[in-house]
Amino acid sequence: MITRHSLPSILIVGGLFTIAAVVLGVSVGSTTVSFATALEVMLDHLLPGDLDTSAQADAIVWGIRMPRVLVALLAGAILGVAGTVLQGALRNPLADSQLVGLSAAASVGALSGYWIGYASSGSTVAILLGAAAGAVGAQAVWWLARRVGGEPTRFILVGIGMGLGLAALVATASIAIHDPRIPDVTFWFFGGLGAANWTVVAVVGFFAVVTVGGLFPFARMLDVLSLGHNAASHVGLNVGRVSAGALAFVGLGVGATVGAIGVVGFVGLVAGRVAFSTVGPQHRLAIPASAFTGAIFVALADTIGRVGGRGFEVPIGLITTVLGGAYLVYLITTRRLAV
Amino acid sequence: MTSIEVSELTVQLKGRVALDGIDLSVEAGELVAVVGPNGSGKSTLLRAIAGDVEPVSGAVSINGDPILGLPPDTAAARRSFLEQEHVKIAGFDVRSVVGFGAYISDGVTEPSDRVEGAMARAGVTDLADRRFEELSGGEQRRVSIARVLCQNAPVVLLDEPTDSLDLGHAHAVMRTARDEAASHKIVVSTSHDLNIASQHATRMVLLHRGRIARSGTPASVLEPKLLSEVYGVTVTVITHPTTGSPVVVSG
Repeated sequence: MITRHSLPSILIVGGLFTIAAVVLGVSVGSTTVSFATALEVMLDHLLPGDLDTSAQADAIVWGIRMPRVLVALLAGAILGVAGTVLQGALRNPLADSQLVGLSAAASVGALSGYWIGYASSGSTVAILLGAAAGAVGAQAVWWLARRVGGEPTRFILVGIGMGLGLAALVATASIAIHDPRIPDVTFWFFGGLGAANWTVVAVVGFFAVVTVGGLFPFARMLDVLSLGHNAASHVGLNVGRVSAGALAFVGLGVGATVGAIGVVGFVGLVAGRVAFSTVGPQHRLAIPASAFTGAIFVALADTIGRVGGRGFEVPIGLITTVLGGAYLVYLITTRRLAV
Repeated sequence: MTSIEVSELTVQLKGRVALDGIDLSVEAGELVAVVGPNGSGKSTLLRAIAGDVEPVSGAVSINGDPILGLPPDTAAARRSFLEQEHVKIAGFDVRSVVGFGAYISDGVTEPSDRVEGAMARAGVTDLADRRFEELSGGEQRRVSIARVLCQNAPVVLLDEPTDSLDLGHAHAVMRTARDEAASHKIVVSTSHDLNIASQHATRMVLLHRGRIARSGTPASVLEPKLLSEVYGVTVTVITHPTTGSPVVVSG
C-alpha cells in the first residue's frame, strides 16, 4: 500500500493539533486569556490537586469557552467522518452531508423539536430529533435512489433535490413562525455555537462515539466499494447492506450536529479531501484522519468567527463556507481534484 | 465437479429480447469462448451466468444451485467476473486492487499468497507497487484480470478480457485463462477476436440475435457460410500453419 502513515501516527499528530486548537480556542475571544493561564485552568480541572487560578479565568475558559470548543470539535469530527464516508461510498470527491440533503433533512427534525416547544436552542431533544431525522433522511434518499437504479450519481441527485426542497421548507418555517424559542434562519444555513454547554458536549459526544465508532468497522468494505458497485458486488460485498448501514450512521451523526450547532457546510468536503490526500485511500486511516481534520477545522472556524467580527460573532458556517469554497477552487484550479 | 447449466434462458432488456431460449452446459476444464456480433447477447449471457440479470424465463445454475438471488458473498465463492466496463479507482496500488478479489476471505485466510500468485499468473507482478490510475488502459485490464483470479472461484467469467490489450498480452491472457480451465475450473470468456478465441478456447459458442447459432469446437463453429450470415461480411477460413487452428480472414 502506498502510504507512509499508520494509525498511531495519525492519532498522535491529530491529537497534538487538536490540543493546540483547544488551547487557542479557549484563549482568544472578546476577553483574551494567555495560553499559560488557559492551560493552568484546564490542568486544574483535569488533574488532581488545586492550582491557583482566578475565578474569572476559570469562568471564561472552563465555564464558557471549553464546552463551546468541545462541541465544535465533536461536531467537526462527525461531519469530517461523514464527508469521508460519503465520498468513499458514493465515489465522488465532492460528496458532503449538505450536498446529499442530509443536513436539510436533519434540520426538519431539529426545527420540529424547537417548534413544538419541547426544546430550547441546542437542547438534547433538538439533537435527538435532528439525529432521528438525519437517519430517516439518509434512508429515504437511499430508498428513492435505489428505485431508479441506485447508482451514486442518482443518490446525489436525489439528495440535492430533497435537500433543496427541505431547506426551503425550513427557511420558510423559521421566518414565518417568529418564535423566540426557534433559532433564526441564520442557524439553519450557517450554524451557531452560542448555545453550547456541558450537556450539549455530553450528548454530541455520545453521537460522535456512536458515529465514528460505528463507521470505523466499515473501513475495509468502503475500500472494496471503491471498485464501483458492480465490481464490489462481484467480489462478494453486499453493496446494498453496506451502503444502507454506513448511511444510517452518517445520517444519525450529521443529524445530531445539526440539532446542536445548525448547518455548517463544507466541513465534510474539506476534511474528506484533506484526509484522503494526506493519508491515502484506505478508509481505516482516512476515517480517523478526517475526524481530526473536521474537528480542528470547525474549532478554528469558530475561533475565527468569535474574534474576526470585531464586536459581533461571524456565523461559523460562513467561515467554513468561505474557507471550504476557497479550498475547492484551489483543488480544481490546480488539477488536484478530478471532476 | 464444477458445472454450469443454462436452460431455456430468455432475458429481456428494456423491452428487447436479449437472449432467447439459450441452452448451454459447461463442465470443468472447459474454456468456452462466446463470440458473435455487437448486440448478439454475449455480455448479457455472462451477466446472467453471474446472476446479475433476472431472466423472463429459464434458469442458470452453478454446481446444481440457481445463481440468481444468492447473497453476494455466496455468489462470489462460486464465480468471479471481469466486467466489460473498466474499473475506475484512484489512490490504491495494484497489490491492493488485486487483493480486493480476496475480500470474502478477509480474516479467514492469509490472502497475501493468493494476491502474489494471482499477480504472477496475470503477469502484473512488476506493476505491484504502482498506483492503479497511473497505469495504461491495457495494464489496468490485466490488473483487473489478476483481481478476478485472486477470487479463486471455480467459475471464471471474463467479459472482453483482451479489450485494450496488445497482441502479446492478449494471447498471454488467453493462455492464463486456458491454464485456469485446466486446473478443474470453468472459464467462459466473450471475445470479438475470433482468431484469438479459436486458438485458445476448447469450445466456441456463436451467438446471433440472442440465440446460439452454433456451439462446438472452433473448427466446427468457424465455418465461412455461417460466419458470413451472422456477421454480414464475406469471410474465408484458413488453417494456421503452426497450431492448426482455424483463422478467419475477411474477403
